[in-house]
Amino acid sequence: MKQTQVNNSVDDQAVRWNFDLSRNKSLRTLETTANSMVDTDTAPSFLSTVLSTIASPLPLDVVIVYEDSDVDRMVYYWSKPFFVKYLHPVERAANVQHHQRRFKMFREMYMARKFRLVLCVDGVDCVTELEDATRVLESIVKVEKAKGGLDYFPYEPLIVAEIRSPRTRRNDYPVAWGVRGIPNSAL
Amino acid sequence: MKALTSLLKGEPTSRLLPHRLHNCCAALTLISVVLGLRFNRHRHRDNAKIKRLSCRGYPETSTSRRSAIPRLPQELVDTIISYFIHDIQTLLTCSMTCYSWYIAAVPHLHHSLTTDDDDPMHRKNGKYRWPRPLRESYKLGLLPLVKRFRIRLRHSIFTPKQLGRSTLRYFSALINLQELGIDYLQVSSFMPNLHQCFGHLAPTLQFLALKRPTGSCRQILYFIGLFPNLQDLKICYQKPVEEQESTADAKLIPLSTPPLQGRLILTCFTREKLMEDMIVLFGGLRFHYMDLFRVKCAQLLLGACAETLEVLRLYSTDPHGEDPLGWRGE
Repeated sequence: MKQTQVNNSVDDQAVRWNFDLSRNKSLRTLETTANSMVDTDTAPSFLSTVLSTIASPLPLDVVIVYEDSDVDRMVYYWSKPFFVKYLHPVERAANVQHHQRRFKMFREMYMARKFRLVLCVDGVDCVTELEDATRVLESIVKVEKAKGGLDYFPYEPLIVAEIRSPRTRRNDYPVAWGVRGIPNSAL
Repeated sequence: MKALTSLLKGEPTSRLLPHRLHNCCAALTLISVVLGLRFNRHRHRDNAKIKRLSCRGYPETSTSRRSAIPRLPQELVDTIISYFIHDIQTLLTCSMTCYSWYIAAVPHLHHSLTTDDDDPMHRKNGKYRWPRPLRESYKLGLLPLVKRFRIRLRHSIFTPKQLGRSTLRYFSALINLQELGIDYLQVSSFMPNLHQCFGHLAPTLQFLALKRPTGSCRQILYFIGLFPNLQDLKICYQKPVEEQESTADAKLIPLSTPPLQGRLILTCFTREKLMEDMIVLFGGLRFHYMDLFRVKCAQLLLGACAETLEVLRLYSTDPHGEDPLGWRGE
């Protein structure tokens, strides 16, 4: 497997100091959001550095949480009935680039620590939209596999639709969600 | 239920007990009706369909026979209806169908209650009436059904003034609350009568979410310690602010030690002392899930939960990856 140089744009020592997981013996899952992965140039080395600190021998899942805008749509949950707006072609083209960037990051992360990749569509309320979003992810993975971009994974990436964020009902949706850099669950 | 599962799996019907078969067919009819509703937006036609089926049972039933639906076990109806917890319109339609469907749907309809001081619906003469959803639900006797209550404030802080005598009466009717979210809770202003206002939530509360709470570490820990069954804790601040910790009530001891074995979600959290005290007073931390963003004491928390942490959510946008604020603690 071709070795890729890990980008050292983040302060590795800071990451290692703050997110040292070497003492955690029961860690099974590391989660992050698809949005935050492409929101900064520091993402590849941040996640790779965190992964490299994991000393637990347990199999690890890395869960990438995709929200609606990451899979080419905006769902207006507060409208009745739900209104789904598909992104503008320019935004969709940007999403394609984001997907490419993420697949490159997965390779770098995998070299830092072996894991099983789980792509998760996170959402509530609109089951049919979740199914559509899952299909979008499946097609993206299929294209990448055809290009041989996921050959280094011994297992197929798992694609699931699951509520990962701690919100259970419609009222939980934050009004100002999607603010750059801030996780939705925090607003 | 076993018979229904067998039927759905396509097992020979001869294995099924005859008296159960009837219920299974009715259940399947119910499922198809409800599923039909889910994907059909013509509500009038749906209502008519439900009414017709409710009156006559499933299509093959003779009009001279009693409908199978009333004989359907309530737990089966509950299971079917629970598939629509996120579809309010379908739940509303189900609740207006018959009594057993109403019983199954109504807990989901009133599961969550939110008050929002930015909502024009809750204003009268330009003045915000914060407990209006509470009051309306109280009048209808629905508050015991509420499992999740969120007080969303944007123009005021939450102090004992908001819990006057009548409002406290409504608030005290939330006897089965499992999740509580409060924005801008000023814990210090509730001292020492914290227990009078929130004590009724102690037996059931499992998830506490505080947005920008104020008060000393001990006061906040005392508040958390009011709930002996608390599993999940979420504390969010808008932006990280370094503040001098208040030493008010420094010798206050929490009334209980909550298990806190679920999720810990912290955002823009700089109150390291609060976490240190929590570890000391609660005998360590045992969270299984952590969601951390801009948390000054991430290392402390990861170390404290080294034996129990199973899921960790981090963000590449976390400035601690770059350490721009010099929070490494040297």
